[in-house]
Amino acid sequence: MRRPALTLCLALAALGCDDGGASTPAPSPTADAGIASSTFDPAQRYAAMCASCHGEAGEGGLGTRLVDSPRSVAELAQIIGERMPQGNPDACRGDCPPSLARYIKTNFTSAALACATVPASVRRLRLLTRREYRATVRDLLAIPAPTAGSVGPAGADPACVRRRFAYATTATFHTVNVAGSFNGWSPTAWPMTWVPSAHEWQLDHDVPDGTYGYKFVLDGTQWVTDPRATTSMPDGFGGQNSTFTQRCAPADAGAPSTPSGADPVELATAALPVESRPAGYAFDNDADTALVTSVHVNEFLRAGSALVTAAAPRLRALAGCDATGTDASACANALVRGFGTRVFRRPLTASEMQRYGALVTGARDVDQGLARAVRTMLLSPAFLYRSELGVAQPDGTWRLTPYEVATALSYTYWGTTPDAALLTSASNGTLDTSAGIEREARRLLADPRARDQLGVFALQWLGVETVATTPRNAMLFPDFTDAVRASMLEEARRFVTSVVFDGSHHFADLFTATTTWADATLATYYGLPAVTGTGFQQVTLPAARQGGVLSLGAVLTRYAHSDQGSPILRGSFVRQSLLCQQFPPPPPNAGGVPDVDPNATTRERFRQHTANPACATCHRYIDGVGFGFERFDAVAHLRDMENGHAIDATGTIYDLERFGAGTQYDFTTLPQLAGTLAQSDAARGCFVRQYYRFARGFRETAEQRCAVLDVTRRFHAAGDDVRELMVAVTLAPDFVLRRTAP
Amino acid sequence: MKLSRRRLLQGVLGAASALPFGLAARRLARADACGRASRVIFFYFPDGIAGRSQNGDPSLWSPSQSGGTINLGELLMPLGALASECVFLNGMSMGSTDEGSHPGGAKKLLTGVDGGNGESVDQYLARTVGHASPFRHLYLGAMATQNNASGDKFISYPSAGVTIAPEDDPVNAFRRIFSGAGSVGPSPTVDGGVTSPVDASTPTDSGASDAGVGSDAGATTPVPATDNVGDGLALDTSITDLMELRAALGGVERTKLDVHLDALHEVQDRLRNLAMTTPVTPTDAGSMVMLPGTDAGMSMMTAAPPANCAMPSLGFDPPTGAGLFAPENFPGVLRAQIDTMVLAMACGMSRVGVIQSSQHTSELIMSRFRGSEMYDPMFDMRSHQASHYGARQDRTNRLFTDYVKQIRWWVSQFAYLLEALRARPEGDGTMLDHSLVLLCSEVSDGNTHSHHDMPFVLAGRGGGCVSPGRVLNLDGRRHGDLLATIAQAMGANVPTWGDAGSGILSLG
Repeated sequence: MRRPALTLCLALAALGCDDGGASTPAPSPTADAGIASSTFDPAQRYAAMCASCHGEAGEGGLGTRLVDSPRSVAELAQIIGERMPQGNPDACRGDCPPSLARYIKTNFTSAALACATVPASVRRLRLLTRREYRATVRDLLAIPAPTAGSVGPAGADPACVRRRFAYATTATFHTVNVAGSFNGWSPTAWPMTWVPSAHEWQLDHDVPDGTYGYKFVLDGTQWVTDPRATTSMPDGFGGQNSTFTQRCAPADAGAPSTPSGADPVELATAALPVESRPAGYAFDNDADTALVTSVHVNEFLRAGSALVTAAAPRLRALAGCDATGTDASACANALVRGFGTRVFRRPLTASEMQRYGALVTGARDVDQGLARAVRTMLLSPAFLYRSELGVAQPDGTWRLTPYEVATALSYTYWGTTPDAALLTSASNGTLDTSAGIEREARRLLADPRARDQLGVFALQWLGVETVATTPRNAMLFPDFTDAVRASMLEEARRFVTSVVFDGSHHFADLFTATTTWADATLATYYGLPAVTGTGFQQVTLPAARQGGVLSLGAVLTRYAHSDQGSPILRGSFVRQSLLCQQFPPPPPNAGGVPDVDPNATTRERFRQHTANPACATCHRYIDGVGFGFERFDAVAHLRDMENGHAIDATGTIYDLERFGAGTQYDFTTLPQLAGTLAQSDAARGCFVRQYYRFARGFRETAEQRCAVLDVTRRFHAAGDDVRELMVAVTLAPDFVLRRTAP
Repeated sequence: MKLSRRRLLQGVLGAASALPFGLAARRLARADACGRASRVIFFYFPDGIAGRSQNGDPSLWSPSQSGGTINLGELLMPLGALASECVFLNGMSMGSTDEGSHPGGAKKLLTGVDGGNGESVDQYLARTVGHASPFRHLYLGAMATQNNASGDKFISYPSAGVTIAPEDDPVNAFRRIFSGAGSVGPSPTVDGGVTSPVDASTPTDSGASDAGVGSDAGATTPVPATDNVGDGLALDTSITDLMELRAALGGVERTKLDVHLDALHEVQDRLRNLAMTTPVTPTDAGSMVMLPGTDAGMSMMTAAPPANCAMPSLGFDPPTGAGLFAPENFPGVLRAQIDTMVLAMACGMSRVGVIQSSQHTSELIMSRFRGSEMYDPMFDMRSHQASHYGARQDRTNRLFTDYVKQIRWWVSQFAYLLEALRARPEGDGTMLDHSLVLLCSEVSDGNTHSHHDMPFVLAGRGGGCVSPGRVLNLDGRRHGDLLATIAQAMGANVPTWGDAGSGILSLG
């Protein structure tokens, strides 16, 4: 609580916060009309430029409270025009000040702040993410997921011994062969075939159980490794051979080996475009920014074609067509009334039945027509978008149809298309009532698929999905292997899902649990008592490694640089991902990084850097938290010393619940920091917000914070049981109610 | 309103889309736009340059001109042999909004609009003058999506406030561009031939080109046979489905559905055009020249085969899969994307391209680039790390000296791109003569994050719209004017672009 007035003043100035108003930049009125015109959205610019100081609903913080402002629009506009944003009033000229002033006066009222009513969500189309697309086509076309190790029972499965080798290339070669320990390294014995549609060389060949080294031989002379191989070993010539392990006989030991290119779903969808996640939105499913570009269309076409081919032997059965019949009309009829309903997650309209039926009947034969109709369905907007449009109600609102409810439930809890039972519930009226919705929600949550989906949430919420590829310095960290990376991700998944489903179910345990999950690889890496057997086990952590999600290997690794830990990345992670606190952009007069002493230790260097008032204003919130992680290096090793200096992992959290609150918590260890977060309203509210976003697929606006608050209240009333949070997001009124975007 | 304009334009252009690629758009050039540039490529690199420092050291970027001599300075030195092909645009500003911020700069870079609250110029050109190309827009990246990059790391905006992610895998990019349209399409690489023309609007067609999909039911290989008719049917039906949905929704989700519809039409056009024409072979695409520097870090390099548009080839295998994000592979990935872009444009596949190298505030470890002057296997030096070199330009500070090397490396990659374009004859000159290529980053000085005195270099003659070999001192002129000038050279009638635009630059 030692905050000299001078420091506060500097802090506010450098943060761009000031009394009396808010600001946002505006396009100049001279901007070209029509083309790329910037439509000025005061809500958007307020959120981007003002909310971090004045609060997202104008409730105040480092900046003045704007709710029920006694100032007139003209007075507010004048303040904004002259002073906002602090230090950069040029960023808000022209229409900007009056438009923001009107926005503030209209929206920021105490009635709005109290959240007496929960607003409906906006009517939306939600494009399937790559993850959802893959899970969905797997379910629809009955293409099983490759299980870990993809181990089938005793040699009975011919698909097991058969292995596909694939070499994608953009160069022109006359021959490509596979040479390896399975064929005496012959450069000619196993020739591959060029497959133009896949733009790669392929060979399917039986391989008996064993571990093999291999290379591809290009034009008989060049020996190259398999770029898709996940494992390799020295080749004795100073290079590497790719390796794989084939195991079809019963076995329960060893690392999984997913055959390269063996899974048709992965193969068909590998080139689907990456989602563009809005800044500050952790998940891959933001509906408002998910656009279908021509690259998407290209890849959806390819994927649909390849998937239908892969499912060809089952297609008649899936569609409900006679196994050998030639009656196209009967098959068309079955398709559009049965399987089509599953693909579109609702019954087809009359015109859709006509169109898709004609695709079957208009083809050369039943098989061709069926294949065409199904892959056309896989390109339809009815398939690609999850509809959350609703139907108009007499009171002017919109309400999701039962099929839309079924779809939302299924993708929320399972990440895939509704099962037959859900579609039945949609058709028989069960989902018309909130009791029916709750019953289905609880059924889905009891299924193992809900764990997998919560695991997806966990990795995205924590931001750790890319730990598998994030670069690390192999000379500094030779034991940080690909196996360790993979095990860290599994640890994160299992930690969160086990707290929620098996443990106390309590939110606080995400921070205070004294155990984690490890396999033999990870136990050895962390220096824990040896884990025996093959799988993951729950293990008790020594005190120094405790801290719940904060001390997960994946989190410690993700928020670090290639060669050193980063208090800034780790502190920002806590503030932004765990507390949902966003920082304003640095003001233009903040300057850059001052010169620092290159001989100082990491913490000393950061201390210098935060001694600069212009930096300290934000970094006092970040670094003071990040220092709490100092006992862990860039790959989650515990350490007591760094460069001959004792580690100092003490820290301070300023303004934990809200910027400007004036609180201060000092801590000396990471578990203490974690324990503080476990009791924090901000942390709990942020967790709700994150799960709400994941479930809803959009970033809530100031208005929708009331919907989040509604869910938070339900969660709290249920004793912070995370399972009840998961149910609550579908019980909140805005789960089924919609409105048209303004 | 933008969207109605958009539809209107498409109607106009739709009539021209049956013309051979490249010609249609040229005919649309307005009399008041220069309109002679065949193509534009935006080449982005992250984290700015050693500009005017916090303590006032002068920018190391600003080139100068005395008489006919251009003095490039140490950062632009790799452009030495290409100075006569470039206009060096000193002193352009992106405005004050979000000054001090990397993402704020990235949002303005190609939109010219504060907060990225507008369509970017590359997207606009793609859907207008680039509309008749098989690929209206090519957006190729090198490790641009690393670490699940947030959307503000990307610079291409199809719609206000919405970015798309670039294709980071050169193998995917190459396959997509050169394997034909649709699910499989004609494959010039192996078959050499192209399937016979198909009329995708005839549902009952069962012509020779239609190998069918279901007929492969028992085959062990899950590789689909060519079914161009099936592709066409899928696209036609999808368009019908979309139009029904769009009509039922009134204005709801209109932007999303319009972009989707454009995308369906683009692929549909591509499929039809590729089926109707032989592979595009510009008269002078000729044999591939061995380009300078192609051996850097390419252990699998083979002798470049004579490449043409019927047998496109990069001549080497770029990294793919998990190797895409290994920093030591970065030069190979970027090289492949540059080569793919040049090849695609040489073959008339597109007129509008963006190459995004890494991402702002980049964690790219540039000291792992083997053979480069910053190579140091003992020390990890990242792009963003080096860019915060301190308040002054200190030659004893490794951050600063490495930053200088990094910027020079980015400039050398731009030089490679220009050389690749210059090495190919086109018309009465080279590809570069008919192209515009913009070198750009999201901030000026990497330490202060200034949005003024931006490091922009425009290369190529744009078919005669630009007279290169000059240094211009533009003294605070907004960069929207540069974007408008590029758009005009491409044939779009765009008198100004973005916020605070004041008109076209005089570059002719």
